[in-house]
Amino acid sequence: MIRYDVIVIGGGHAGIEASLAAARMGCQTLLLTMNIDSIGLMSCNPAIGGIGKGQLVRELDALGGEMAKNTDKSAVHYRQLNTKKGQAVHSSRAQTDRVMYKNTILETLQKQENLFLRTGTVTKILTKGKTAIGVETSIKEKFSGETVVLAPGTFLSGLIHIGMVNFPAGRLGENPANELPQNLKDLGFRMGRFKTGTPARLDGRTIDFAKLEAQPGDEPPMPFSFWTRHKVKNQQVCYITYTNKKTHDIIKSGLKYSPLYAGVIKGTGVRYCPSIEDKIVRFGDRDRHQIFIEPEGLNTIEYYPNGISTSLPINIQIKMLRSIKGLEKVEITRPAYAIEHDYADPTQLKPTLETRLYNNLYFAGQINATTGYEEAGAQGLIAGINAALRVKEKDEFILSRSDAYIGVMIDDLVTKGTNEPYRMFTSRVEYRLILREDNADLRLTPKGYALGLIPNTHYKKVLQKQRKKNLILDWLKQTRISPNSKINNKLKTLNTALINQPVTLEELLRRPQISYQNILEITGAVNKSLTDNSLLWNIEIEVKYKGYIDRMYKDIEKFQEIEEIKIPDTLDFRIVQGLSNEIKEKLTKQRPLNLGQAQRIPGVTPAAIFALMVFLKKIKNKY
Amino acid sequence: MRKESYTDTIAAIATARGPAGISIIRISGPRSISIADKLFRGKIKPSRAKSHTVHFGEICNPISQQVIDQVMLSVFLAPHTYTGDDMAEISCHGSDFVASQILKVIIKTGARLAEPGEFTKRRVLANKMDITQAEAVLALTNAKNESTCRSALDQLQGKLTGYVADLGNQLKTIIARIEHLLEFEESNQTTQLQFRKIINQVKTIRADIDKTIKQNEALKYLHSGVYCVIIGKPNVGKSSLFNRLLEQDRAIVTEIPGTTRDSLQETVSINNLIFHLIDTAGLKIIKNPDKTQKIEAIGIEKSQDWLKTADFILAVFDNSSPLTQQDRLVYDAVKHKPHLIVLNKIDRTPHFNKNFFKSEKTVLVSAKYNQGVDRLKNAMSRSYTRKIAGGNGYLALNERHLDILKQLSGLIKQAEKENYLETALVNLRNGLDLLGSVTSLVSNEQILDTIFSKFCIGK
Repeated sequence: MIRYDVIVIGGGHAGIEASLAAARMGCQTLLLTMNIDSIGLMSCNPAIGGIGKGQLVRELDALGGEMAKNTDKSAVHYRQLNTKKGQAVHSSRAQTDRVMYKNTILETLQKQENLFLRTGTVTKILTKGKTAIGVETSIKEKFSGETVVLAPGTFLSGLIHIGMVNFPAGRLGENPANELPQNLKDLGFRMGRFKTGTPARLDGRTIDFAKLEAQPGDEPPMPFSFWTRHKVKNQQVCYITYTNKKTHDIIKSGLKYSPLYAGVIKGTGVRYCPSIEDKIVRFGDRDRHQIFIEPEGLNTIEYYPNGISTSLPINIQIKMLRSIKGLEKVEITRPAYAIEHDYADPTQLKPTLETRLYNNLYFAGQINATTGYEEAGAQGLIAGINAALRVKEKDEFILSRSDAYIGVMIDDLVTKGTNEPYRMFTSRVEYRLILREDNADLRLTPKGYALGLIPNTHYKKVLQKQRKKNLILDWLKQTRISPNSKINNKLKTLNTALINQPVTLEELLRRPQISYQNILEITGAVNKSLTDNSLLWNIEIEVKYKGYIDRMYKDIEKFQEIEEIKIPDTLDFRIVQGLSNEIKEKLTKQRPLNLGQAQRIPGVTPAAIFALMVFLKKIKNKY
Repeated sequence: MRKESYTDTIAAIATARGPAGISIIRISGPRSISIADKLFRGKIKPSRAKSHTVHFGEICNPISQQVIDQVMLSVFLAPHTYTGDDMAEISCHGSDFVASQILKVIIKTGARLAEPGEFTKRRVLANKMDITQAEAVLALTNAKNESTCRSALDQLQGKLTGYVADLGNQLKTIIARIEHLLEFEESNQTTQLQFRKIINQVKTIRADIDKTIKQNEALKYLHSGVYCVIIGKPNVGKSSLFNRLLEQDRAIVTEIPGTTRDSLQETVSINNLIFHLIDTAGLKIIKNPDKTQKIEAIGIEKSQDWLKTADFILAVFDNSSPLTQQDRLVYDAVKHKPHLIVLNKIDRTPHFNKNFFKSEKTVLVSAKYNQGVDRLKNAMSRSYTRKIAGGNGYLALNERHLDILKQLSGLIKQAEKENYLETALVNLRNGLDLLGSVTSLVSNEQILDTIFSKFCIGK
């Protein structure tokens, strides 16, 4: 029997990143999936990114992940979100061709050195004592592995609901994994049940596009990946329509047939990506909800109505859709459905995503109570990296809350846990004015390079970007311009105050009305023009938000101070005076790595942290 | 670096110094009872005693076996004690010498001297009270009159904690709504419209905070009294009024204008509120003063100073004579400050043009015949009790709380000015964190030490 370094279970967005990272770090890696043809399938909408999620993907990309690159290979429509209301938290989003996305990622996996694909439904994690040593499949085939990354998505005891009808499935038309969840319970994992859902798909030939509001992509579109060389294009248009009172009435009348409201679904749903019936019930005062009609790809007639996922019976689904402007004659190609699945309480994990119960066993993606391709992909990368580092007997790789969105997400999951499917938001990120898309490469690529995930050429490109950035910031700071009629005329056209004494370019750029492009126009400094959009934004944001960014760096220093008070992994919390038994138990169970993490565990009081700090200082003085 | 840890046993004399009926020595920590065992001689060994029981006996020096004093020993076993640890309290005869002798042997037997406020600090750390309640204990032990005592008690019962929690919830709602705008796609126009709406709500929250700050600033009058200056042109009867309010002939009163040269200051309680009354030479323009006028001129200068520093002004006018240029001068000097218009000499034929004050309230008195003085007193105290009472009752804040609220108000004001959602949010979130530090320990040793260092040892 071949012994692999890393066995990855699941070919979804988490499994892909995990297996690529491990293989690229030189580990003999096996990707086991129930169906090779379904690898990289986008189970829900054919889009990558979005607010908060775009940041995850750019970070993933900066560290050497595949999601952004693959998006650029299959994208049909690009849009930057939040550029107006919050430049510092703008997020990328791209529509992709669903089939192309899947095909290109499969190609990448198949060409990857050290990576082997294999069909198999894992039924058992093989363990020896407190260590995972391999897996067994439904046909009793055993695979031996030094480390195991489990990324099964919604497939654990998946149950699909359409109205009062329900049936076991991992995704519409695919079998669930029913034996593995039992095995996990037998191994001692605490499991829970969540619900997620997806809307119906529509036949584009029956949509009246003339009645819809068109939403073209950004011109020019900006590639998702820092490393994409080819010119990306907008090839398709998205559309916007709205629900109305009639739609809402139809939904209300159908609520008694909704498994969600009839009590058939037991799992907790995604509060932030609710089904349309959830929206109607919870936001009763809204008279309409926005729906994006998104193309499924270049060579298909199917469209995806974003914002209207439901578990209502099929006849109500159709009636509801046909009440919407532009969809009066719509035919559906696939029904909407809700799916319940098992997850494992993520507080059972270390920040490396290794389980506390078994060494060398890692969990990534939806099994950790998250929702979304981007969240899954980011976890996959971290799990894959750490599994590979374990094989190589190297130090673990952990991103902190002040390093990356990825760090925030994983810290939230393993420290606080979640009682609903976890979705990334910018508001979860304390230092979001610093952790931005435009600087993800400057922040993280050196780390990816050190891990061996970033080729030398890419790393050099980042170093060059950093140099150019410093150069331009210096130029802005040091160049003074004196008032003259030409400059003041320009300022007048920009609707900003005229100058009556010399000012630096930095001071001018700080004004909300003035862009970097305007600075170039005022100075005529052609040699300072920027072709790299991420660098352009980087400079504009860092000048315009300087006061706040500086404040945040100070906050980070304070944050790191307490983060750096390490808790020895041998510490017996029972001997710490001043802690209640409940808190002692919590700390023993979750074993925080440092005082900062301990502080974030729900129910751990400031007084307890103080007691712990006093104790840690005392023992530090002793030894 | 902190000296203490929770394994320590601490001791201190809990009662005030000086001769008294009894003195109490407090011990807290794991060794409290074993120390009592070594020092106490009575019918029962302290370690055998039930929790919350009192025992008569003697305290002896364990080495010389000499009796120090006859005492009552109270035994309190964890966890239902003040600090949450085992505790013993020794009530001895009220002599500093005896009490300090007992403390000395306790410390020799294995306790250490408690730092100021350490007993209460342990109580906070044992999660038995939050920090505002601890501060209330401090205020309670220092309370000088009924109202400060009442506000401290309110705080101890968690009123401040409630106020902060309420404010925090309001802020959280606002933050959540702006975050929502940032996290979900809507058209740019809708976003801006919604954002402005929310910002208007922030303004109401800030107005409420500012009101609480103002009330609390008014509360200082409860503690230290109101500085009230009596002003008016010469010979309107300022000194007569001063004497009437004091209910004694303190100032010299004559018919001659300019009798009062220096300012006089006396303290009087009016309707339970302390007023520091200041009688002044009054206001008047003296051009090129001669020798006799020179003294008066200095007095007038002093009146001007008092006008600047006083909390409250009684502006006195003569109801029996027509309005003069000097009256106008007086009114101009007080109209933008907290004041009351007093029309004196109502016993005579009125010649004063009252319309001059327009809708402003006036109080009619005759200082000479003691008419309307009670009405004046009521008007004076009312303008303060109203300010102090306000919406939050006696929500008394100490300097630390007040400072936090002021900073919070500033942050909200900054948020209102921001064009971008995420920078407005930085301010609001910082404000929320700041607010959290009112009641939580925030793991910040400095805040803790600042608070507890104000305690007397043994509390």
